[in-house]
Amino acid sequence: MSITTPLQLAAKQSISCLKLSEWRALIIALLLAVTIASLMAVLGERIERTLMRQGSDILGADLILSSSRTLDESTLVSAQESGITASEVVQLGTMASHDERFLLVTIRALQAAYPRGKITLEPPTPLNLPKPNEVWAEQSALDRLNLTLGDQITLGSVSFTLTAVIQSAPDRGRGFISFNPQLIINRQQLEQTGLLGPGARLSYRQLFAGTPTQIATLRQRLEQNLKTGEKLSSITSEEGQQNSALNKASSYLRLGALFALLISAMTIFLSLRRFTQSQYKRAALLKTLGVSDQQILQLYIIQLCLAWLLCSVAGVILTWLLESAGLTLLQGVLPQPVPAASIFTYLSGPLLGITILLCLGLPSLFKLQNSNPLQLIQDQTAPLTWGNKLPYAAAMLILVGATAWYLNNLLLTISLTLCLLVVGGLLGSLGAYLSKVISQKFAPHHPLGNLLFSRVQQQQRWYKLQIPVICLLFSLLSINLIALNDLLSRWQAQLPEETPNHFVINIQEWEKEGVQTLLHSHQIDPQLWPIYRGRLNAINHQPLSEALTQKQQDHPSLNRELNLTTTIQLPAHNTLVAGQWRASKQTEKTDTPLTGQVSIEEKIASELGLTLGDIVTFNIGGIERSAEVNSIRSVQWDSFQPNFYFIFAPGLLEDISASYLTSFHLGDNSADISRQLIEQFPTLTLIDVRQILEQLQHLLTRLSMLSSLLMLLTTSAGLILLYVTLTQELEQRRYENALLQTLGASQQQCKQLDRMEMGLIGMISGFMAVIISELSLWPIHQQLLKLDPVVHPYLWISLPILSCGLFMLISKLSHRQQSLASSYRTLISR
Amino acid sequence: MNQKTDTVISAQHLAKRFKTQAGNLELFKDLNLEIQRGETVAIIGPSGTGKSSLLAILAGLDQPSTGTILLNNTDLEGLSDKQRAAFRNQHISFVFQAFHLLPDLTALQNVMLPLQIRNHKNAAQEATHWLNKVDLAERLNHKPAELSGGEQQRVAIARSFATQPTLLFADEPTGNLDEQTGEQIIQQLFTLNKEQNTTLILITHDPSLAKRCQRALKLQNGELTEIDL
Ligand SMILES: Nc1ncnc2c1ncn2[C@@H]1O[C@H](COP(=O)(O)OP(=O)(O)OP(=O)(O)O)[C@@H](O)[C@H]1O
Ligand SMILES: [Mg+2]
Repeated sequence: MSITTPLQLAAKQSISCLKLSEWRALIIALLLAVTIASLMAVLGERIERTLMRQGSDILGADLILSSSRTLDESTLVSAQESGITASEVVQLGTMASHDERFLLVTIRALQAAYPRGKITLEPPTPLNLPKPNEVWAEQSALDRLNLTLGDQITLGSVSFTLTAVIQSAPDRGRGFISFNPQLIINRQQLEQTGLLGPGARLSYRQLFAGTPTQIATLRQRLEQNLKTGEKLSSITSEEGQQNSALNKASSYLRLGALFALLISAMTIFLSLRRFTQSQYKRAALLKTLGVSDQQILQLYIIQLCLAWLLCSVAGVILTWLLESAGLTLLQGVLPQPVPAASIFTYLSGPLLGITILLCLGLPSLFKLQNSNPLQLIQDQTAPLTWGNKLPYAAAMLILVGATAWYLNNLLLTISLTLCLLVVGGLLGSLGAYLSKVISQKFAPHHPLGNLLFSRVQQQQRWYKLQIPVICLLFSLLSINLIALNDLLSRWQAQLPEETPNHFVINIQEWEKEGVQTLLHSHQIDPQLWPIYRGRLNAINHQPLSEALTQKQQDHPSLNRELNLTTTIQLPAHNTLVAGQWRASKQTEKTDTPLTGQVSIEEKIASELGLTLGDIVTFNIGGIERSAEVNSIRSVQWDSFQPNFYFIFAPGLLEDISASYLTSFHLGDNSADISRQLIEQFPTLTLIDVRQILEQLQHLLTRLSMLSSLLMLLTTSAGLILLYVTLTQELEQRRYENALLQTLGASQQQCKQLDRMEMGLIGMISGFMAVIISELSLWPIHQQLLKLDPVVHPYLWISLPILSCGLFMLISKLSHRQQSLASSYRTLISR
Repeated sequence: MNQKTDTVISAQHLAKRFKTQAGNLELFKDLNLEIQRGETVAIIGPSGTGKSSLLAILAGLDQPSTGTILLNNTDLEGLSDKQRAAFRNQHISFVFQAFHLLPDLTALQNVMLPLQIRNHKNAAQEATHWLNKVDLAERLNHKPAELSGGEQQRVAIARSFATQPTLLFADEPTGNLDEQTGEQIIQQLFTLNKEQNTTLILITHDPSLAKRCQRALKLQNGELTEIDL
């Protein structure tokens, strides 16, 4: 007879344990944890990469080096040599003319195709840059210059043939400069136009695209050699809407993955605990047979590792299957092809699985090792002592570390963990207490009331652990759902139906009334913002060179003219963060220079170190005006509303001449109104941003769908885990029910008792989950998703009812007929 | 007539068979048995002959493969699950070898359980009374872990008498206890049995315990024979 190795023994034990519900539950939970973690990571990575690339498509590149001066040719060449796709674009604003008509346009001169993204044209052409002597233009240019395809457009001293209309193009830029109709020409012809002379408003851009590592290396190199006036930007650094939406989505992805992780960890923890508890007797028995403590520990560790191996293989295969299914589902939504995820990402689930298993499992195994043969007689488990708790503490630390690494946010992790611990303890005691009080109050009102009260008392110890877990599960699910919901509605609110899609600038004082009348006649009532172009000259009567640090002096808002305005009311999409909104008109104009009041934007205030009470002095067309900072505003930059760094109280700038700006939403009749406006007021500039808006809305739709899909995954995982936990829980009631049946309870009564108990626990957990959700949504909204926190009244009603119902349903579904004879067998064989 | 009403168990032609992987397992066939009210009956026999299985059938927890059985003149076959449960709650109690007290309930709460099943109004009072009877008046609020094995079994005995049953079944009630404690338990069981005029049917491996019963039945090779000890 051969000697059985520990491995063989463990394998045998794993198989024989399969008849234990605890062991089965552990395996299912582990499999789920591995699968979810891998799936989230893989899907997340692939989708994030896709969206990144899509963001890059809008930018036209992964990384952009820009300057108003010519850029070093060698950068381009050396990047190309290292395998990066690179190309240069020169952009300038100039007049285009056709047939006696003139129009201010933005020209982009391309040297080669954009490294990322594609220019779509009408009629479609296979070319990705115009031939020399040809020009592509946006529809608005055609409208304004009265052009048709084949017409000649004069730019500088060269005449180009219009061969295509641009439907969409990458690298369109943002800000007012990008609102001019855009034209694309071939770089070869740029010099001949003579537009590059002195005084031209030029922007040079070098565009790069490559693998993430290539780009990272290049970025590092460029950053080190950045000359003054040069700027690096990419989809991740770029401030703006795609980016902020993307960031929120990716935060949400991480949040969802984290929750799935927490949920799985909790289930693994519970089933492990139950499993080791069920093994005390066996371990004690093995000891009486002469197996050493060491060997017992070894045996169970091997058994856990075997389970892990099995779950990892199955989990990775499952991940792969679900991933394919998920991506098929998203086929119409995600731009194809979706970049592949790295092998390591597939292994993140198994890695996480073994971490959780060992962290949470070892402490219990140590207890197993210390099992006492006396327990064979006493049928009691060892009480928790500090010595036993220490390994748990260590395990917690490791888990917290892993989470922090994963979330990339230590503060959030620590606060989350602390909350979890404190709240978990409180919830356990509160939940157990509530269950007792409620069932006691309820006892006289139902034939089974007293029995339920006894049941609740019998299960107190277990509730202290179980209620917090279920409660947290529910909180996680509801937080996840609400965070998603708030995120989606925020996205919707960000770009409501009536988001202004047309801007009119350069409205002169004398045109103001005419424009208003025209717009009124089309039922449009827009606000007209006076625009003063001014340069910040001094802070607290000191020149900038003295008032600011060297770094602050390089701030992009200095050294150029800013758009200043005045308004009586705080704009709707602005929020006051400090000071007071002082709108009253200033009447005394005695002091020279005049001192007024100004409200400034939060970010620039902090960057320039401005606080309430500081005096800023602007040079507005040669006139100096000073104002005291009396309020600081936060501005929703992604709202597609006119936004300003500096808003003056009315009065101070009244005597200086201004032009006006307005924005409004035009529906399908826009062409009509636009034409009327341009015909009546040929000097004003009408900017059509519908294309940008549509691009953005499209992106947001995709992100919403994606986030919803992930929410669905997390929720189903949560529900499966809840099912596993509760069935396990109900399994534990079988012994109790067996006893009750021999004492004369009917099966019906036992069933009903189970259901009442589950309903009660469900309701209590649901109710407490509401409190937790509300409390944790606050920081999540503020810190992670950057949304304004709100209270969710509907949650207070729906969640307790829902969870009560859910528990009763699961209790109903998982009920197994327990025959009297088998109940009796249970009792005599124990 | 009078004789008939005092027969609390009347079993005819009982047979019990199990289907197992190894084939059919027949424990016994054609067993006949009558037990009168107030009797104490011991069932003995080697392990695995089917004593516990017989007990389950006699207590109405399991059905015989063939044969009929009347408990207190009632044929449980014809009752619904609910009626059967009510019948058991009213007439039948058990004492187990492993006590089977719920570990997180106090002694009092454990004894209250069968009373709560029938929604008894003064369950606590009744239970206290019975714990008094088994000399555990001081231990009402102790949990099983805080009681010795003998004390736990006394709680179980209090629980079984609390419903004032007609029939009390005990499956090796002293199997988990040392000799001395076992003796005390048996003493208590017999005293209460006499006092309440309960019919006691117990399984035991202990000949001296069997001797104290009015009747002893031996189950062996599928045959139930009355023996003299
Ligand atoms: N539901 C069942 N299915 C199959 N076999 C069963 C079933 N219940 C009992 N048996 C078998 O019937 C036989 C008798 O079991 P039982 O528990 O009645 O014996 P016993 O006389 O009480 O033994 P012991 O003195 O050891 O308690 C055993 O071999 C047992 O395995
Ligand atoms: Mg037996």
